[in-house]
Amino acid sequence: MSFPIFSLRDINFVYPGGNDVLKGVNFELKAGEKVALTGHNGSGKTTMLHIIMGLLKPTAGQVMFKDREMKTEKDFRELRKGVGLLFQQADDQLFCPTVIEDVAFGPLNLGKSPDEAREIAKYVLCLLGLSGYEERVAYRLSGGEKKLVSLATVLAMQPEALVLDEPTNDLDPSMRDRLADILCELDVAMLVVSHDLNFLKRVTALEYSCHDQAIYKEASIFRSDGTPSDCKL
Amino acid sequence: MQHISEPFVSGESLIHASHPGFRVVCALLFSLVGALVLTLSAAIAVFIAGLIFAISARLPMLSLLKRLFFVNGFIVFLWLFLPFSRPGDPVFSVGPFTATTEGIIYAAVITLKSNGVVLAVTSLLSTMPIQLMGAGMQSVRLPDKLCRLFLFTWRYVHVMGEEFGKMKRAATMRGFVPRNSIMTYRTYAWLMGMLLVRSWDRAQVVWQAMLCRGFTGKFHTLNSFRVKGGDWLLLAVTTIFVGAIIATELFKVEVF
Repeated sequence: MSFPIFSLRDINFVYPGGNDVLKGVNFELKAGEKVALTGHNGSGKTTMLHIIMGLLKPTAGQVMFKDREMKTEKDFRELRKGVGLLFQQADDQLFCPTVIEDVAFGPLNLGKSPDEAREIAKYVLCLLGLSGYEERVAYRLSGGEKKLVSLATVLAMQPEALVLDEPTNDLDPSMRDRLADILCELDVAMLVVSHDLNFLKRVTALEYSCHDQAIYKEASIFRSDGTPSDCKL
Repeated sequence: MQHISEPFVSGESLIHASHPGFRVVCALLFSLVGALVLTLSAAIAVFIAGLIFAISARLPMLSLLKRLFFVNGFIVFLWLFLPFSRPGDPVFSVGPFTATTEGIIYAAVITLKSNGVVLAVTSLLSTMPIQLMGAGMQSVRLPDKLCRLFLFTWRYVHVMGEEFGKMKRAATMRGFVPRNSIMTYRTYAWLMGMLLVRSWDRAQVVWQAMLCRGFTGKFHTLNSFRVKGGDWLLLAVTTIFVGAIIATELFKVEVF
């Protein structure tokens, strides 16, 4: 049995003002797993992702990375090296002037030299079919291009797991296909939050849903042998 | 989508080819001294130096005139008041107000030095893309916070503009027509308020995105620029100009 990359144990979260969002949530993501997370608007999916990343502090419960409990901001810096979050809005994620600088931002923070960071950034851009975008100005890209570049910024950290928050929002069908193809090819664990069932069917193998303030495993539309329906692992 | 236009960026000249950091330093040095001069002769020197910069940067005439037109739009107002505001030798009177030589010279000094500084700064700074200027600022060790503020402002001013446009369109769709009425002012106040709230939220999320990618407070940069002979030449020429302007100012060289 493989060891979970991260897990949540008995997480409670209450927003200031008093409404419970999550109650007794347990979840884990193991290496290589591709998991879908569905649920209504406001059911607490994004909150859960932010708790995983340490952007929100749970009212009770533990966040584990590998076998260690994450408590302080410093702990979460470790976790963020291993787990990459793709934000809902690409504009929030791309804050550097040019594409190459944005993709190299993570590696530079991890202590790579400018040359190494540039190499990694170029490699990741090439992997996503974005060669030639290096010197493009981030805010002038189209919505779909911004999405792919923000994925590149996350992949440049060379994470073991990806957490994607509604990745297909605002994407046209062809861009959605392209993103699904890319995600199927990637050899990292994934937790994908989305309302787009067709996309989830292609990319993920297991489904969890978020309702009544907790996470439930679904006996779902997905195949039970743990592989996504139409892509090879 | 509307873009911030950069009409002077594409061009070929010694200035276009030089080190962004050197250009930032030269622009700082020149505009600081240029803004502080008080005598007519020094102001003329600032203007001439500005012209020389503009000529050597081979700026496109039309865009340059347009830019100067905006600057001088403000200065026109100064000419309405300043000549009458200083005591001295009377030149002419309009009703109870008397224009003096000192007043006219004062207005001329402001006009000359502001045009000179705008010419120089346009030649030095507007000739590079803004992201390069940010990198240039970092390369000459200007305070990290200042560079970051500058780059983030540039990055997000467009997003804010788009957000404001979106809200305004939403209002228009529901029959909003700006008039001189309380309703109009209230609507604009709401729009501005919402823009502020949204900017705040966005700043939060951008900060989170930075944390997720390992940001710990230091902004690393990919750019490294090589310093060439031309860069030192630019710095030397700027220093000579600045020196000459200061000398003219200090020794009170008479023009008339």
